Amino acid sequence: MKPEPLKGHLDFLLLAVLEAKAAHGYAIIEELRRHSRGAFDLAEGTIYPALHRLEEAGLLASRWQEHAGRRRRLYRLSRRGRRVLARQRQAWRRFSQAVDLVARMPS
Amino acid sequence: MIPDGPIATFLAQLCAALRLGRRRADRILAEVEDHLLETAESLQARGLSPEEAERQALARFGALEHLAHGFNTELGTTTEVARMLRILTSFMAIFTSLIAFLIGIHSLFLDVREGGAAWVAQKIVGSTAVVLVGAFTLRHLWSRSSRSDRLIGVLWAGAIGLIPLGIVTVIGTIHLARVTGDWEMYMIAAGAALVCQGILTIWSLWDRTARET
Repeated sequence: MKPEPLKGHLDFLLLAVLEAKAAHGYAIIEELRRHSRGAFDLAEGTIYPALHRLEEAGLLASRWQEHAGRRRRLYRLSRRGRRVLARQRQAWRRFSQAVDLVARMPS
Repeated sequence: MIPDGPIATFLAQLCAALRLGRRRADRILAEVEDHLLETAESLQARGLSPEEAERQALARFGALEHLAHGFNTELGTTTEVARMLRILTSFMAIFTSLIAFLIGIHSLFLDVREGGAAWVAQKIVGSTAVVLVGAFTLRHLWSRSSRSDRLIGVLWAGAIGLIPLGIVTVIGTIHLARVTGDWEMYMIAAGAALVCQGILTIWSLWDRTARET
């Protein structure tokens, strides 16, 4: 899938990936790719500005972790982030149902 | 990482392109380095040479210009301003809460005949309200828990209420001073601080709400 349609939904997808467990950027990208069965294959660096912005907004929390002699930043969903994710899921369900209804209209 | 190799060069160029504070930039560089090296290691495990693995890791990561632009726009001046706003609002909340607490304590021991029972009662009630709003403000600005959001309506009302409270405090103090001749300058300063705190708290609440996705 081309990266353009993803732009408006990247925050939602990042929150959803981090709902299950904390992860660093590389693992988040791999999870996105795996769960979308390869449909979401965006430039890997694009998630970092979004992760930082979500953390600034209080939706994520992060901490350093030592790994193979390097520092690794681990992100997790905050309580506020879980609440926002639930709200965005509901909005997405309504939106996708409406799109389905219109898309199935006879031509 | 290959010294002066593709990843090292990329990181040096990214460092030069970022227009952020030192701590933020260092953190971003550490994260990007970790990501690129992990990608390169996984590619090397599949049989690529170290240099080719680094090049492919960079190709998958994306263009430097887009990444730097993304960081500079997402985390540049706007975010720094938001952080300063949060710090300034917190400072004002602590300052006015402390002043209010001291005024409240002082009023408890104040001779009622000096200022009248109504004036003393107003000071105590006002001081208590200011301390509570200050506490709620600090909790909301710095807590990542959603529990603090349950009181957000109360916080908005409290923040809005600080402005007329501050104005009434200043006007009331000036009026009383004209009658008694006793200028309580600390009350005028406290009133002005309340107005400032109200404005800053409203601004912070609005900014935080606007930033939430």
